[in-house]
Amino acid sequence: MNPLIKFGTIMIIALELTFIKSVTINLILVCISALLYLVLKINWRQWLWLVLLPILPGLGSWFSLMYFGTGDHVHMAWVMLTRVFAYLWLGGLFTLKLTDERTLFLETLAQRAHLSTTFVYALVGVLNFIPAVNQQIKTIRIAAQMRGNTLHIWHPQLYFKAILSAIRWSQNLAEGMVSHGFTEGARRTHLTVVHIKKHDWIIATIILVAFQILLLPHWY
Amino acid sequence: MQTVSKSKRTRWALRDVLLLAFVAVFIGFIFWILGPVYNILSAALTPFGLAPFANDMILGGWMMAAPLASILIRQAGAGILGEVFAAAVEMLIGGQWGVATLLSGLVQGIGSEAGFALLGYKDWHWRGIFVSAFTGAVITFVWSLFRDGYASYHIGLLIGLFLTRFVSLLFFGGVLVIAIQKLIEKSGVLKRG
Repeated sequence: MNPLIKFGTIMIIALELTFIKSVTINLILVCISALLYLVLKINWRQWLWLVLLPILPGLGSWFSLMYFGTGDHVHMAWVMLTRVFAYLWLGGLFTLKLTDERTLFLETLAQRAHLSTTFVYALVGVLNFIPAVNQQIKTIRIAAQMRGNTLHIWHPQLYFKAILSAIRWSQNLAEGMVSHGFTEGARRTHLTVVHIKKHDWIIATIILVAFQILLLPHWY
Repeated sequence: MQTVSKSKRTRWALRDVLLLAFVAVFIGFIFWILGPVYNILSAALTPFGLAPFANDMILGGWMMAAPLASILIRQAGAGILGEVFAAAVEMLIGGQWGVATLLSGLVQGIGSEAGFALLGYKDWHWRGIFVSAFTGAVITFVWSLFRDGYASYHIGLLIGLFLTRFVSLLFFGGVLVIAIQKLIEKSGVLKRG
């Protein structure tokens, strides 16, 4: 399935999930995702990540709704606990495969969704800088520590220095992109032309329609 | 020194988009690195049912990408774009909320952007920043009523949570952003041409 179509389908379901108060629906989504993960063959570390990550925010909401809720708060507590799992497991269907599908996703955004190439290529460029950004923040903090200052999140200097790096890097990257032939707003030809297959649209429509039908009964 | 394009056109210049994206990634990472602190705080509050306070306390920090992008680029839409960029990065590096991160990022961006929009995109200093912190708190709180199940809380807890969120936004999205803006202006690293 084309990653952009997959992304759109997942986002629509996630948006609906925000307003659906149903434990059953959340659990059904988790189970379907689990089946898909079995087909996709993810490794045990990814399974662990899927199981452990939602526990803290899920329990956080669960406890507070149990203690401080009103109305049908016990039901809502379970909804919140399962909802966090549903969000992450649904999202994982897109994000866990993104490493392989990133190029196709961005190509589709540019060619089929007609997102301006400035944004698409800026995104490509910046995504590649993520590890460097991580390192740079550590450097900024260590450099300050060597002068006896610990930079906490409430210190404007920390952000100021980060912004200085952002300014320098964005300028370098812009120059780099232009010198490699990137022209803003220019018409581009594509080495690989992305086509969204008809059956991708059909599958997405079936999933969304099936999901709406699933919502019809009054689930717990 | 970076020159930020001053044009009123809606076309986005490459260097502006890149600056905005980098600022978003940096802000996202600063709070990501401090994630363990947040998780400990949140875990400690969980048995007392007060975990949402940890979330609301730090929300202003998560939302800093929006006002910073706005004051740096000074263009309509910068706040929304900055926050969506930050949320996309958070989702990719493995945020706890999965796809919902992106939706929240959009809502947070709209919330922060609304403040600058209310003032007609003319005030990019303390007045605009504070109005944006205020609209940010209100709009994201409405979102939380649905997404985080806040609508089922006692009114007392709701007021407490709203005040916590408001103070967090006033500090991170208000006071801190103004302090950063002062540092940037004093250093003269941005030129508007």
